[in-house]
Amino acid sequence: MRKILSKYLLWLMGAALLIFLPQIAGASSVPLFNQIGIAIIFALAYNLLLGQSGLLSFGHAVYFGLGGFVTVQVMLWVNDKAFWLPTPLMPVVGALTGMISGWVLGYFSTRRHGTAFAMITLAIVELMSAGALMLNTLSGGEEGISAWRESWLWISFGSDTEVYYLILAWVVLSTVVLYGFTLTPLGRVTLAVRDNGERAQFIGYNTYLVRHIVFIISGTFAGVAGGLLAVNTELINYETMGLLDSAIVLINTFIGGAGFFSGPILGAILLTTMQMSLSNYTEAWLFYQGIIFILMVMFAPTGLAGILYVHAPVVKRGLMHRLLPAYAKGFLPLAVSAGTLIFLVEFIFHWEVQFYSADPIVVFGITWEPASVWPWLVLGVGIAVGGGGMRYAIRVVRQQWDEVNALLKDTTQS
Amino acid sequence: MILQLKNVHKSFDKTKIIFGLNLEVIEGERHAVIGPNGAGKSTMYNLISGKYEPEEGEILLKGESIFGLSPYQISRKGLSRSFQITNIFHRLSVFENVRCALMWPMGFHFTLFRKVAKIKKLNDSTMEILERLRLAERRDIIAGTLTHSEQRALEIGMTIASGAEVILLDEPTAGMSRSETDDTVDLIREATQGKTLLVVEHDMSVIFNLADRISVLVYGEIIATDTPEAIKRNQRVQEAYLGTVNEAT
Repeated sequence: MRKILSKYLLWLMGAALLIFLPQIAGASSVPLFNQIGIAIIFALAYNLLLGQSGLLSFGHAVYFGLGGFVTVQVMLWVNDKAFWLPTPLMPVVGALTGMISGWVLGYFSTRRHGTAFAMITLAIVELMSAGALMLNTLSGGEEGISAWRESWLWISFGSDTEVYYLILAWVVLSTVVLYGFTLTPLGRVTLAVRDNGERAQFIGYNTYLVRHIVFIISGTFAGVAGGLLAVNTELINYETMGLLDSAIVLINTFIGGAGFFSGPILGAILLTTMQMSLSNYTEAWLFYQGIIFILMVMFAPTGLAGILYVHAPVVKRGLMHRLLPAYAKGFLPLAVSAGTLIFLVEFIFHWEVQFYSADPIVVFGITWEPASVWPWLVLGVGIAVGGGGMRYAIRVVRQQWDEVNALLKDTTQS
Repeated sequence: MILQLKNVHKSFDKTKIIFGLNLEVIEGERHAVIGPNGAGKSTMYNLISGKYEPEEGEILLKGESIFGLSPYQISRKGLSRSFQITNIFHRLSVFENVRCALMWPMGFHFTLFRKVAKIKKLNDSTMEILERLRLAERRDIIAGTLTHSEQRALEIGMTIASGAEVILLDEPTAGMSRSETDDTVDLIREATQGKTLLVVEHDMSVIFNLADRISVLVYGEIIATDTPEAIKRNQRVQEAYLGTVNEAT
């Protein structure tokens, strides 16, 4: 009984946190939460392809963007009294758009898998975003299409907080449905097709049809995210269905961990937060995102969720105290390395700017003179200390992990 | 006649692998195919199961042509095959491997609105097969981490799970120790009770232990089909395939 209660307690606390988040964090953070919610749905839809079906798409923003375009168009008709649909149901328009376009375009792309699939998605995204820019009567050209949210019942949908609850409801709904999908027979077959399409054929499954169905579901929820974007920003332009948004959802999903259902959620939360907050401080944000992506691909291909999950058995057996000191030892070298890297990037960036603006080079609140010895000294010391420290820290952490793994093996055997 | 190949031809680029192959498998028998390396045994399997399409000839399953059908269509008609190189779902658990193989034949095709964990008869049948494979205790292990012989057993399990009437096994005991081989032969005999089995194998003791009839495939042609005893005495077989037969008996 107590166990059940504590289980529900956690869910209740989570629900309470989400409901009161705008009040707790303050109204200024709400636009960020809204972006995160949209990114979560989009990334979960994307991971149905990447993680669960093994299909690497470079163009999933097509379904996101089309969902957004059609939704904003419908909103415009509602503004003109030519149509009626309450604002909370606008994402349904996105869902239908994503479903139909996923059906049609998926019919071609899912004929193949692997590299050929990736290339087809790339071709489609280029075609669609270039097409959207050219057909400016339909897409509004570079300016895009804008419309406003109508009020519904007593809700005006004038504030970000009201939109927050709308997005929250759709995030919960989408998460439940997409998680539920993984528990169905078709969801399990999807994994089988991902692992070994050939064998799946020999046990009776038309793998092309399985991939097509999954693609349609994924397109549907990408469309939901696009519809929410239209409701949230009240503006959609051709860039929404372009390569950049396609890349961002891939990076969010991968960094979060494509092998885990929770991975895309983690990735969407972390990277959207970093993007929205860091872009206030540095213009080199995309550069940092790229570095994080490269480091994750090289050293942690299972993503953040993967890193968390390897600790689950350690925590369960109460062995965390063996790892934490090693992690603490690694923190300082990591901070020095990151700091040095940031200094290098920002210093070069500001130096570059100085060529035409003559602004002083200010990094970490200090003015640096490229002709003096100081920036170079800081860089040299940073690289030496950070690099050496990292080598030491990696050794210590690895050693602790070996010991913990040995202990884990012992306890499972006994 | 449950499975029949008539004058089947297949070549890759300009190399002819199968020429004019004729094979007849009687319902309910255990039929072995032997032959030297490169004789075209695997190609024949790939032709029957729909992985390759023959250039010429006819393939009949239960009297019905399966020429040009996809693997999944042939599988749905009641023919199931295993692979020489273990072909399982490496990242899924042992349990899920077998359950996936059971889903289509048990009628859960593209089922979306049911929880797979709550479909009792599906999970029960899966457990039953795992017990027969002696893999019940390993049910939650990721299939890719099983030992070689366990993976082979799983491979056979997935092939028989479907309840197909015609089962094609491709070197089921390859790479196994003596005792593992004996276990596997028992398993095959038990699992193919009342079914039709076509088996390719190099281990002659397995063949003579298991088969009702043997066909000898040499350079893309069946040169003889007969009982094990008659095959042993057959002059043409001894010429084409000398040594191994006598050695093993």
